Amino acid sequence: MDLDFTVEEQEFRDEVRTWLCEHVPTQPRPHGDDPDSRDFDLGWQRAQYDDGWAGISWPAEYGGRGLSTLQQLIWYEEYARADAPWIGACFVGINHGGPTLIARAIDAQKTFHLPRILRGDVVWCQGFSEPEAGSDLANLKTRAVVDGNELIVTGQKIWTSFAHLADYQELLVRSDPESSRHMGLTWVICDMHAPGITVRQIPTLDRGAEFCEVLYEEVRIPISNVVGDIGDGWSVAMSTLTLERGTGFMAEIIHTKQMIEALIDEARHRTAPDGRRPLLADDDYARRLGALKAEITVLRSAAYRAISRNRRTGTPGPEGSMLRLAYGDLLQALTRLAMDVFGHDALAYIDRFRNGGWTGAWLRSFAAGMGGGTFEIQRNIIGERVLGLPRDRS
Amino acid sequence: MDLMTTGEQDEIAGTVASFLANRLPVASGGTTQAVSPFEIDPGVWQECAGLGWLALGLSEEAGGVGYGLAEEIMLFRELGRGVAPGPFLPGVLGAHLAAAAGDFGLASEIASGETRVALGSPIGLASVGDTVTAELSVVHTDGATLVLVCDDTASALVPAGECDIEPIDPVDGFITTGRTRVDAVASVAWADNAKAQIFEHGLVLAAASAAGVAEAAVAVAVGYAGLRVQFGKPIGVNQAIKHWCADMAVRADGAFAQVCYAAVAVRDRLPGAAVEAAIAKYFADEAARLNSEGAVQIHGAMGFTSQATPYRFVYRAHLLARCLASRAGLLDRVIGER
Repeated sequence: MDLDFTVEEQEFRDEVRTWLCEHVPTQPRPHGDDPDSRDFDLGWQRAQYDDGWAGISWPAEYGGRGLSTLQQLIWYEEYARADAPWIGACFVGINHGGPTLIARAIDAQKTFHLPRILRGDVVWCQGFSEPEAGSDLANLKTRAVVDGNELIVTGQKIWTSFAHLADYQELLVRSDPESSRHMGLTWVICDMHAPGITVRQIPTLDRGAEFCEVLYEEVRIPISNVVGDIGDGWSVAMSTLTLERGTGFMAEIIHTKQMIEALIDEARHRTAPDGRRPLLADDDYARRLGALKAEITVLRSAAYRAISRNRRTGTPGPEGSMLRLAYGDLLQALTRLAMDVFGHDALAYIDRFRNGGWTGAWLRSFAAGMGGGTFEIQRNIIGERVLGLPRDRS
Repeated sequence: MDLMTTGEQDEIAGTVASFLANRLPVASGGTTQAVSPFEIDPGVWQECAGLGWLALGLSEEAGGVGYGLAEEIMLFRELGRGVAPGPFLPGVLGAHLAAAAGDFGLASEIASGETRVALGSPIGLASVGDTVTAELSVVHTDGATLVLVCDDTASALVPAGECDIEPIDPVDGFITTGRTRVDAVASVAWADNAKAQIFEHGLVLAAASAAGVAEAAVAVAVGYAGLRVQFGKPIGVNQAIKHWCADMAVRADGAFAQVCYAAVAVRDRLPGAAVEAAIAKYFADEAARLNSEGAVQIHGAMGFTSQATPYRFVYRAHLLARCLASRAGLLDRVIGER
């Protein structure tokens, strides 16, 4: 049990810190329906690529850095400390689609797509959820019919972030009409510029514009775009997990820790309800802030332990859901408390990427209870797969 | 960086757990108070001391085993899981204090179990040094000849005979408890906290026990939820129960993770160690309280009885939250200057 980093790891940290300090964009990321957001996200990805920092957790043979788990951890910690931008439209390519290709694609698919993702040439999005297949993903119905060397896809996907900016999509479809649940699904790379695709943006409560629904009307996709086998889509969709070591999550934790420190500082400089003291001199505020600082510190320790465990076992277990749940809960509690701290100043909307963007961050925090599995699904996973409680589903 | 336990640390935990299961099983069966006049059977106490439990982290020079805080937390986590009686916390801390004060003779007397120590937690302002003036809440009074008093300035061992401890009827009826006010009682041994860090050491060990309570409460709640059948199904299929268990598990996991982090930070004297230790105690106390309450509720009416075990966790969480430092004081340390 130790918290030591080797000399080599400390030198690596210095190198990362110096590079980030010199290269992190000074302009805030555009929010909402800003045409510049695609260029901003891809430009930042390209800047990392050009100096050899892209794909920090990807194996070297696919153009990544192939760094050790602890070096990845250091990268993400420093990334957050440098206040580097949210990954935005590059999220799916870098963190989901790309890793899935690495795990399951054939060479031709890898050599075509992986460099484009890493270089920041293309935006990927994820086509998993459907109107009737949210938490119950295996209920998805978008169908694909094999026609010669093509799949013909008809159906609808929803909650597809950045579909309106995307070039490619990791698309999960039902290729066997007789099948149900996890069987008969296929994971295919869909060209978002193909005829028959309609993308509609869905405005969100935090004035975001990246949420989309995608309609497919007899969209023809070459069978050579299928990853894994036809009918094996569920296992391909789940394979991303094998590359995830829990290190990426550390950036979010450090970022949140910085938000709490900033909020404590804010409370030092604002006036308490009695009009006479700093807000932080008010015991109620001070201890609520103290409790949140304690909780984020605990979450950091839990993440360190999870990373340590993953290093030994090689694959992360369902315990990851515990961190996700605790994090989402904490982010909501933090931004809710921020609304109390800011009082009347919280009447003004400021998007989350700008200085003082607390109202934007608060509104965005509602998404933490849904993205990547709702709180309720996370609790089911913990209850059933970590604690072994009985299931109540067929 | 590696916050998982080592094989050797797991072995310590395993040995302690099996000893406790055999020799100090969790009492329930309808009793809310210890039936024996002793808080812990003197023979069992001596066996524990003989196994080196009080000397794990003490240096070999001071007659100890030569492990550190990372091994001690494994012991205290199991003591919490097993809601064990006995003055382990003040014993371990008292031996460390005596060694830090240069009195190796006293350190080994305490570590051998021969000299027993009670834990005095100051209420309000205290003066701790070569003499002690304080109002004290005292636990593990049975058989104690010394009282350990510590806060974030210093820690001291004072003779119990000069403390005039008034026994109280404690909520946790398995731990002998009292209250006193001492005025300029001379210390047998004392050390500045900046040097010995007995206070942070104690916060981490108490937090380890509270984390153990939190974990054990999840385990009994999950066990019951999987067995108890109503409406033709185990109650654990219901999300109202399952999700409560999930939240308890998340809390328990966080509590022990923070105990590990704080143990390393205090052991290696890393910057911020005092705050890490305060956070460990605050969070583990909360986890123990909330999880023990959850375990009672999930057991239904059975949870309200003293025949199921959840009440033992409620009692112990309540006691630990009042040892060394409590919620408000801990949170003030987390925020710091304001």
